[in-house]
Amino acid sequence: MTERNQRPDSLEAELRALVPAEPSAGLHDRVGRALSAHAVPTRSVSARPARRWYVGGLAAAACVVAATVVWRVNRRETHVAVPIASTAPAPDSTGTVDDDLPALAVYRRALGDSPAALDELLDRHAARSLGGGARGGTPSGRITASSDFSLIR
Amino acid sequence: MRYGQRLAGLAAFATVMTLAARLPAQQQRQEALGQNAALRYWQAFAHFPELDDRQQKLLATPPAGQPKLEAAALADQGRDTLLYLRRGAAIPQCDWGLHPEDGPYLLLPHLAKGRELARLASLRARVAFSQGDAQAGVDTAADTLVLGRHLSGDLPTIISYLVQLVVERTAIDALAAHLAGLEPAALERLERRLNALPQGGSLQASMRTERDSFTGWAIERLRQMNDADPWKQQVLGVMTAGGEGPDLNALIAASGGTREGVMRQFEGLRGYYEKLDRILPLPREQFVKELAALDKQFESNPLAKAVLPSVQKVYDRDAAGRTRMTLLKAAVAVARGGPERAKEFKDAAGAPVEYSATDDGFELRSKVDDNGKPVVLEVGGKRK
Repeated sequence: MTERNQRPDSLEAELRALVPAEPSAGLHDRVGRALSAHAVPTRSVSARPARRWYVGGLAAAACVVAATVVWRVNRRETHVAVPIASTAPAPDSTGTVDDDLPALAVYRRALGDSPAALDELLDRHAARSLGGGARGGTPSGRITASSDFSLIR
Repeated sequence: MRYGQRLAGLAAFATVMTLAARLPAQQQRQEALGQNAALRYWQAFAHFPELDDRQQKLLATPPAGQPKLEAAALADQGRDTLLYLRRGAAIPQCDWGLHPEDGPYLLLPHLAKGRELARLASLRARVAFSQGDAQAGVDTAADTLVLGRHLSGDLPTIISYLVQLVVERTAIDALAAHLAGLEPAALERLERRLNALPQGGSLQASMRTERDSFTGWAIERLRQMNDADPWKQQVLGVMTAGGEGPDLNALIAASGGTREGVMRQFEGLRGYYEKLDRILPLPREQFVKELAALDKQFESNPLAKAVLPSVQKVYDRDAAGRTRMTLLKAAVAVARGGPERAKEFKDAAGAPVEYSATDDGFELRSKVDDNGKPVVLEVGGKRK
């Protein structure tokens, strides 16, 4: 062992004295703030069920609203109050009813004359108002609902 | 599964069920709108063929015996109209959309058309029977009977009830001519259709409508009108119009000369209808006696003669019509089960139906009179 090894090195002593200084409270705060600003949000375990509750509740509310709208539209379709104008007749001021009209009073009057008069009146009314269909002969070229479709190939 | 998921799932299920429940209800409403026989009958009227004078006569008075080619051609022309008759007769409900609040001004455009349609259908039935198509004959005749009931069912007036009886007679005559020769299957089919006929009008119902359409209507109108309104013409005039009707001014004078006076006379007639309703179900002899007493009781009312209906005529037509229908049902029973079955049926007078054999089939006779002759059904078509 040499005298150099046994004597404390002043440089070493000086180096040993160089220990890290304790960070100040201010430094702690600044680091903490910097970390928070750049942090990735993470959920905590306790927040997950609340989120699902929230979504489930919204979905349930949406379904209830949809069903209510459907129900109300349905009600509106069946219970629409349509203002109906009065359709009471405005009888002729002379009080007569043309014999050409198929009116209750006209038929009753005919029956009062005789059953034959009523028959004749009914015949007249029928002849005047029917006859919008086939005109004479067999409607050979005319296809209608009663046609025999087996003829069509 | 978390609670939120369960809740969302339940709510979605409820929504789907609500929507699903709405769809059939909406469909049912749409279908219900179409289930009115009158809608089909009006289409039948629209398709009715145009007839010349000869064809009109053929319809009004079908010739006896086998229908000729002309009748077959006419029936063929009416194919479309008869298709819609079939469709209408298959629907139980029939609402002609009438307006009873119109009183004597009520329009009944379906009656004349319905009667004509019934004639065409009966002609078609006769042609079908003559061609050996018993099923078509039975079905078309049965459709005609349904039409008759439908003509009077929703608002039975005296007129619509009389048209019902005329239509029924047309169909009954077409059936009776061939009934003795029908196969068991056709008879069974006919019986089923007769048992399923809709109710139709009746004598009592038609008298009630008569009361409401004339007396009831007049009271209501007079109450609503003022003295300055044309109440004389509009209310009384319509009931007394016609060459031989009583003089309007004389009626008003006899009622006190005022609107209130006329209204009181109308109100006095309510009692007539109340008593009439009670005596209508009586047997003919008793009914005639009671009716005479009732008419005498009200002859002091100046409006009675002008306003009240001719009840006797309608009573007799009703009895004859109901008896004819009974004879038809009896004829089906006899054709299926032998002559002894006739006694099971009673006519409108309460007497049992009488059977007698003929060369062509058989005859069923009643004790009910129609225009001085007993109501009889001659059933033909017996197979040789």
